[in-house]
Amino acid sequence: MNVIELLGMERSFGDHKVLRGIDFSIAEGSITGLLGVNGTGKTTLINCVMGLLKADAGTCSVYGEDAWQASVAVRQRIGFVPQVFDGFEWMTVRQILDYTGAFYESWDPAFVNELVALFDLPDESKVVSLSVGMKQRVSIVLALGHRPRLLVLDEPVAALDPVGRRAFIELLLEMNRNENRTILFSTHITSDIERVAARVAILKDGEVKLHSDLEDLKQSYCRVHLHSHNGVERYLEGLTGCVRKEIRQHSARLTVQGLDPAWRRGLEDSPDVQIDVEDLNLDEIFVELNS
Amino acid sequence: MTDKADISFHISTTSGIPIFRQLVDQVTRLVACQQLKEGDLMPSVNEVSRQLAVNPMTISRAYNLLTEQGVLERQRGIGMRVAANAAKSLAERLRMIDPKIDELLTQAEQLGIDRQTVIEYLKSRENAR
Repeated sequence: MNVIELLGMERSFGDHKVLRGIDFSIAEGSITGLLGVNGTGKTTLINCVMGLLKADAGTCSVYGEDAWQASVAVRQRIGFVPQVFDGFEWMTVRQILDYTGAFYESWDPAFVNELVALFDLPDESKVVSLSVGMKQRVSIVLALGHRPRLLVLDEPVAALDPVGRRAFIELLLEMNRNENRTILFSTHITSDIERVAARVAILKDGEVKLHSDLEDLKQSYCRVHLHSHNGVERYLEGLTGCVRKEIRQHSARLTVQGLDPAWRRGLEDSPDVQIDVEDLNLDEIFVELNS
Repeated sequence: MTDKADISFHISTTSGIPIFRQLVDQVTRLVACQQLKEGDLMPSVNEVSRQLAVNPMTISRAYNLLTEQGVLERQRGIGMRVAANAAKSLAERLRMIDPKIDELLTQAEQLGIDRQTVIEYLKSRENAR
């Protein structure tokens, strides 16, 4: 069963249609990274899934229930790290943990204490005195304390230092390995996605343009550089899957999805043209798809 | 009884080469040169996932591919072992460096270096080492 199921989901703010028909689903036990340039609606999508915003049209369901009207039972299964953590400034870290714990049947105080130690949280400090990074750590512990089946994280690592990020990534993987938890997170840091996520979704122009296995995606995209004194145009015949090309008189720079090995071999065997094929990482693929 | 293989995998998350491919290449090389021997027990998927902080699905994928290629074999209840006859003959190992040689020859050609000069240069390098 799919944990999250979005079908033709739309959402506008005033005249601005941010989400224009989202088709996207997430299977139990998967880790998915959500990517998109600033302002593409990642947070809007996540807030709809969390039932914090109501979709204008289409389906937005979580564990088979409409996200906007999800039951308490379903909400208890979800952990959420919002992009910005605020409020509760007058409480100490310990107080906010205890306060949040009271809302959840499955709150696990022993596990929470482990997390407090792992993230080096100052128990007795007031939230107001914490740095942005520390607040983010508190927010993560709050989201994990009830051992949710589904974790939704909106740029959870943006404010974390590399050490905190690594600890957090290891924690996510541990939870996925041992308890088959489902994880959806948005981020700008693609190297984290490369490590953690098995699947990646790219949001563009209000739609999920691409939702694929990350390793398949990386395998399928490459950049081809051609050089020839006789001009490169004629060598482009028979090339398929070209998503972007910059052609100059004696050279070409092509981004290709699913490079045809026969075409490549033909050019490699040809003495008049030089061909170089470069593998692209997620960062580069992301830039290509957005330019 | 053979030992558990002591492997330190390394990956690059900024490389364009998928992580499972990087792992497959590392194991294949270690087996080809017999740093990993027939019957050696591989670290489990979870162990490698923990060591590298990488999604376990990615590690499984590498192990599955290595099994398909006959480099590893799955032994029920025990784990993954280096398969019998997985070590490569000299001819097979030479074939593994074919792509690198092609690359070298192409580049030499583009730089106007003839093949004989490349061969002599390789020999001089050998003496220097």
